[in-house]
Amino acid sequence: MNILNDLGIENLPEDEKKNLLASLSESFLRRITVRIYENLDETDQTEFEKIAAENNPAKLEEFLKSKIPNIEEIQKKELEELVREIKDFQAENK
Amino acid sequence: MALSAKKASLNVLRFMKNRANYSEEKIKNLYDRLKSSGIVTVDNEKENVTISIKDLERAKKSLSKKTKITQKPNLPPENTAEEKGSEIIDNIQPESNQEKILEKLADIVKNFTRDIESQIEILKKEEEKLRGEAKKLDPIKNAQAIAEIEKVFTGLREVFIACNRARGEVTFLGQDAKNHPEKTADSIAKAQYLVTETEKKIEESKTLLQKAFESLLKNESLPVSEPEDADKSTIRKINEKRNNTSFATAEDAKFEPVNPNEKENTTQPSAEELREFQDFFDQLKLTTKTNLDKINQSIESENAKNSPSSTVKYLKQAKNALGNLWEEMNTQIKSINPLSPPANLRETKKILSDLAAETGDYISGIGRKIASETRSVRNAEKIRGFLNRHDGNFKSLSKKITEKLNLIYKIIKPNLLRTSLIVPFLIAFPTQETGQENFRGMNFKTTTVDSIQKDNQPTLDSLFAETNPDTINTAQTETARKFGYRVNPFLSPEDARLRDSLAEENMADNRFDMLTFNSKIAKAEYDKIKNISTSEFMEKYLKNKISDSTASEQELEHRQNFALQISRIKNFNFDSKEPLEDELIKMYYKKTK
Repeated sequence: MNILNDLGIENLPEDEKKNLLASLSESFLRRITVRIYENLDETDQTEFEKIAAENNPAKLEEFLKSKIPNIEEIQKKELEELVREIKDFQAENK
Repeated sequence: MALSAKKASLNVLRFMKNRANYSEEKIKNLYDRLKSSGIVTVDNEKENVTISIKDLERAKKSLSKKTKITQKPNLPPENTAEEKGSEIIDNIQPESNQEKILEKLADIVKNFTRDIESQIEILKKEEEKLRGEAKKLDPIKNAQAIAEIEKVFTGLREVFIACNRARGEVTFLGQDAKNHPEKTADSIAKAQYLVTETEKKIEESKTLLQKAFESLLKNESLPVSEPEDADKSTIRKINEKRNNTSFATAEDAKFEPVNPNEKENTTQPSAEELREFQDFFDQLKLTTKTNLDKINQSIESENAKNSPSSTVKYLKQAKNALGNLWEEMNTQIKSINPLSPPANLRETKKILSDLAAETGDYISGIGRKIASETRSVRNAEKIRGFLNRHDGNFKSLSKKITEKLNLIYKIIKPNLLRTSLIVPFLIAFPTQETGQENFRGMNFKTTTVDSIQKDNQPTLDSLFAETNPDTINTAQTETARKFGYRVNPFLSPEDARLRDSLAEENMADNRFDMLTFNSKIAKAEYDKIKNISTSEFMEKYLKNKISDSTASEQELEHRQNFALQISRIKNFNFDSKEPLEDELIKMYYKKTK
């Protein structure tokens, strides 16, 4: 099983599949952003904004890992949650 | 011209030698007489003797009037179709009557029918075995081999049809000879031709099957004639091949229609059998036509609804399959003579039934594809609905937070993408359901990365862009800058030293050749990476490099882009212990040049 099969869109025409997955990943990134922000206190939020503005990926990564050690776990859960919510929505709107 | 060389093709002379006990000298005299009278013609260039059937008959009649011949009781065992035909002609004795000739012809028909049935049975068993083997192939990795096996099946199908036709036609010739004694010799020749040609086809099929099995064992693609459009359906290919076949048909043989009132034919199908066949045919015709009409209506309706293009494409494939069935029905019905024996009718019915069943399966498969696609389209609509609502929720957070989040999101999105935090996560994330499968090899990763990068600074186009040596503060770039070649950020210090030493060497010898130089480097690297596994490669060339704190931002970006490019390889497995796939090696190779 994979996300395409989970959401029942594995046989969508290729172009539509790409567009839809792009929207899905956009939504996923938004959620991650919110979660990261939620996991930082006010000082770290300010620091985070400052580092983000520096446009230094390595530094940003280092900062996030130091402040949110379980960030990968958060990402994983967030994606699972997204898929689950979509499936619930699909079931409700049969 | 040696006389012995002509015996095989000159039945008259063989007859004289074998049956009439003529001396060599007498045969030569007779041969000269036949030649001078124009009955026998000689092609001096090819040293071949040719003689027409009509001439042969004349020669035999002429000889029989002048000689008294005793038939030998024991005929030598002869196996091939050609020999069987020759045997009949050889045995035309002055005393023999039409009845005996017909008996011999009936033997040919009987033997041929028996042989052909047994050959078809053997081929069908082999076909079944090949199908079994083909099922074991991976439909993606062995797509080409499967397509070629399909061609073998198509070829077999053609042979089965040809065999059945030949059987019907040889039987018909036997009947025809009874009704038209004057055409006996002609009928024998036609029967002989059909038998030989059919046996040739069967032998070719056996060879093709044999080669197919051998190729499967060697895991090579199969040896089948000219390439064909892979999209063409099996059924269509059957018809195309059938139409191209050089096999003689009833029409080719230009049979004269048999007058049913002329003589009673005991092997004719009964009225009931004919009616049964007619009912079957009418029903098949009606079903095919009804289905064709339905599909045409569906195509119109889907076109009007602007349905996914693939739905219409599938429907057109179904329409083609039905069209082919229709064509085959027409061909078969034309080849049926009302006086054909019941076996011929049954065979035609079987051919059409099989094809109808095959067409039915094919159309059912198409139906399933369409239904599945329709379900996906419906699900996609729901996902879009969810995403709209989700975006709405996001925007409905308090204005202050939303503004801030939007601002942060815009800033960090490209950065998150560039770090190893998000991209590898998107590329390889285990789903909740199995904990095993992930996004690898799916369009998700490709689409995600592609689409997000539309409004993001790094682009995939920059993947193979030249790195500016000025921005890389490492010792090896000194040489790079000196010689003006591209800097390869993935080059290990060891490889870099090798490269620099080669460059210096070349410079010293004043034989510097960038192309040779590059190919040496590439070869050295290729030798080095070709035996390592995919997972080792990823570990060595990407993971460590991405987290390299000494690398510049641009270099990191460059490496990240390479990672993204790799992630676009279909079905790429980052944890594979198999040697690197060619596609990755090529990509890496391209990068190093």
